[in-house]
Amino acid sequence: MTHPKEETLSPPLPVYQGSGPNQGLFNKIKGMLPFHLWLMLPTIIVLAVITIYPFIWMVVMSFKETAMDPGEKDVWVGLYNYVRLLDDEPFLNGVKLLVWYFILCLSIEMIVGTSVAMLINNAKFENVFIVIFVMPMMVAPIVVGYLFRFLYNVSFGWGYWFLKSTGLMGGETILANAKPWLLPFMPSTAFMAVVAADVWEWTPLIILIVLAGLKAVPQDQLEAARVDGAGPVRTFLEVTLPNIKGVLLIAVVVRFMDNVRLIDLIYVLTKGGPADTTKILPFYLYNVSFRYFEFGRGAAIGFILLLFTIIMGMFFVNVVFKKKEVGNNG
Amino acid sequence: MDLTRREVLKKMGLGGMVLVGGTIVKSPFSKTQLAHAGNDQKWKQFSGSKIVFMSEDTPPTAAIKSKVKGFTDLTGIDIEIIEEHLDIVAEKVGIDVRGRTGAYACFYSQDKPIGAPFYKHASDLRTFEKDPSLPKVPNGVGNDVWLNRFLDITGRFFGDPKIAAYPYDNAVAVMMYRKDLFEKYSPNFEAEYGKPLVYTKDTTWKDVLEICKFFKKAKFPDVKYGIALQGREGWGGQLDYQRVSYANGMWLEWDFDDYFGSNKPGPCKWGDEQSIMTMGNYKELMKYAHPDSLTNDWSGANTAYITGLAAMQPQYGEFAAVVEDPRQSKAAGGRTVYELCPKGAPEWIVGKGKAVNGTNCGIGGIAINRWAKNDLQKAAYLFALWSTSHDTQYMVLKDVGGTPTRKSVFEMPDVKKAFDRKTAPMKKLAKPVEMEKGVMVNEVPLMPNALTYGPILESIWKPQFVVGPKVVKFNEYIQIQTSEIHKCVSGLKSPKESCDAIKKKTDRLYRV
Repeated sequence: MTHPKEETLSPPLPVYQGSGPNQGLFNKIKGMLPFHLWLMLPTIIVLAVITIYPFIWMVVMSFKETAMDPGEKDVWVGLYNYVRLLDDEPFLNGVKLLVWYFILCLSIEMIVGTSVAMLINNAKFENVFIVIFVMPMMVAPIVVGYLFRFLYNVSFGWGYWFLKSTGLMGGETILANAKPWLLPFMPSTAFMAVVAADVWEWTPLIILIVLAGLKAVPQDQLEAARVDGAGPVRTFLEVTLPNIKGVLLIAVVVRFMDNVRLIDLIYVLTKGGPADTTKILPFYLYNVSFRYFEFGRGAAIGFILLLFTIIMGMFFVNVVFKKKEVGNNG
Repeated sequence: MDLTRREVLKKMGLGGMVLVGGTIVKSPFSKTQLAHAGNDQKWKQFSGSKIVFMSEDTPPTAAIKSKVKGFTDLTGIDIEIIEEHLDIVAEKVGIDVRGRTGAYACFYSQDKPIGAPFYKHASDLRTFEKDPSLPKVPNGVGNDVWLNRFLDITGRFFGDPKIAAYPYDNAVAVMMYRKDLFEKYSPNFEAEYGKPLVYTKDTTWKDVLEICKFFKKAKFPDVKYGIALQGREGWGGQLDYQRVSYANGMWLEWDFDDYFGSNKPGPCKWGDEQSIMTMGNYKELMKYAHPDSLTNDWSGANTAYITGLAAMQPQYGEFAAVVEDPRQSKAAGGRTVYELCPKGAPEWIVGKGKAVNGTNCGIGGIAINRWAKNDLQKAAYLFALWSTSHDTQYMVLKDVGGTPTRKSVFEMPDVKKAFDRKTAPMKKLAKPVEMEKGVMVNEVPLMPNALTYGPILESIWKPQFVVGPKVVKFNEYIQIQTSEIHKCVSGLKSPKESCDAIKKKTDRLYRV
């Protein structure tokens, strides 16, 4: 019996040789790329112009002291903008705070998001819960900032009232409190207030991502664990978690990318204060570039932030692919 | 809200207009013809044009926006007034002028945060003044028509003779305090401090500190704190601190003429004995002020005051409109008195420095974008003339949101009467407002901002008036300053450490 594909195989189309003097060149060019890439080329060119050109310009600018006044020219300063960052207190402080921000936001969002996803997965009113939990994510970040600014307000914020009356908060203010929260090495109370706003807004994203991952956990493995007498914790650790690890790592990468661009919450809530305790690196970058108009210095900070993002992104991606390869080979 | 197709197209058109700074319809008359034409024709020469004005979201701009039909009727020019927070205005204007796009034909030029860094991108208004094809306003635009040296403040920078902006609005600091609370708790205060609880122009910052300690300790049911300050990082915090530092010894960071400023300020005086003493005293003030004082700007402080949480606030005159509104404010209904800012205290001054009622300000100007097309600039100049004219400023003052900059407005008989609450013209509310239980208010001052003009007109003179520091890189300087002040107030650094850090970073900023 012939293979179905062999029966339906149509004869090859004749290759048009052409007759003009340039057809050979045309074919040569055409052959340089697969056809589908030729179709994508206009879009690629547009994207390249709007990303690669500004990127190159940013790098060039980072080696200059940019002029603001008409008639003045930019001055080439070499690596000066980078070297001075080694001694730049707000920059070093910004890096430290960014790492804290990422660790705190991510760990809380992952734990809470995963827990909520586990609870509502296959629950009776799962769809209703999804709608309710996803709502904070639909609000624009700047609106979330104003919402929490009102909640934390000493004069009328019920968030402030709740924290004060339950004894969860020491001190008389939240957003003006530069003292470390709980332990001496922790960031300030104001910083934690920003983290809380971020967690409120973006935990729903983790819930959605993890929920999608939970749907893909093989039911037979869960059944087998149940039959073998495994409790819920053991089932989660031994069956569910290995199956959703890839999804969790994707959530981590996505949130990391968001954190390194965060300025809106800080802008509305604290403007980087009090005492620079909420001035994470992206916000400092924004200040340098668009408040001080020191574009050269801002470009240097931006480039370093980009490198940091790429390195961390590669680290996460390698972990994901490494796990996938191990999974495939195993 | 249903959007008609017409409205959608209009909004899209206006949005697109922002990208190009507006559209101009050239005059059918030549410059020579216009030079001999009447004022009316000169106003109408760009009829049919559209311009964009980027402004801070101040009450005066809101009031002008509500009355802008008058400008359109006079000139035939359609103007889009975009209102944003001051930081955003600085950002957008900076990007626009740096990119030479001229998207905003005219822009709000607050003297220090916008004027100082961008004045070179503003057209010289003297060019328009000399142009015979452009109209004139009654009394003109010379130095002497504006309040004391306001044209120097908004228009002249670093010795450059150019005039970059006309004075458009004024935000001068006064002290607002609850006279009713002071009278009510004076016996308690007297029992503790041996003197009555009063506020006068001779009240010092040390007296204010005592008042703050008193209120905070007493925890009265109707007021919790003595004062609401504005220590938020940025310009608000810089101004808040400056009121204290200047009052005590007339201390300035640099010794140049602060009306014109300097683009090479040289080494600063941070770290000297006076600065360290003031830093320590400011920290003490913050300890007893409203707890959000370190994160509040002028709006936040005003909220604390009008909700009855603070008995005093140093605040800008334009906020009187909100303070006097019983629908929003517990401090309305005649409860608030406006006075000069506190004086320095002899015990807080090192050496022979003078104690003054340190009063600072933000004088907003209106500037013309030199990167806009020539005729767009002229059309924008018509708006600058109109918005700063006597008639407009007087009209806007009566519309609740005014802070005029022309002397002639202050000389109007009804405006003079409005300085004093006893003689101020009042307007009846549509419905009486119950401000709190049993307290009904059925009328409000017609020109509430005018209640602050008595102290303002007294304070805008040397030695008590401080208008600087007008320096290049002002925005970065105030970040350095307020960041270190916060560290001191929060207990992370000592006053000396903070002052030394400001000194080091500021001198580095100015390449000293």
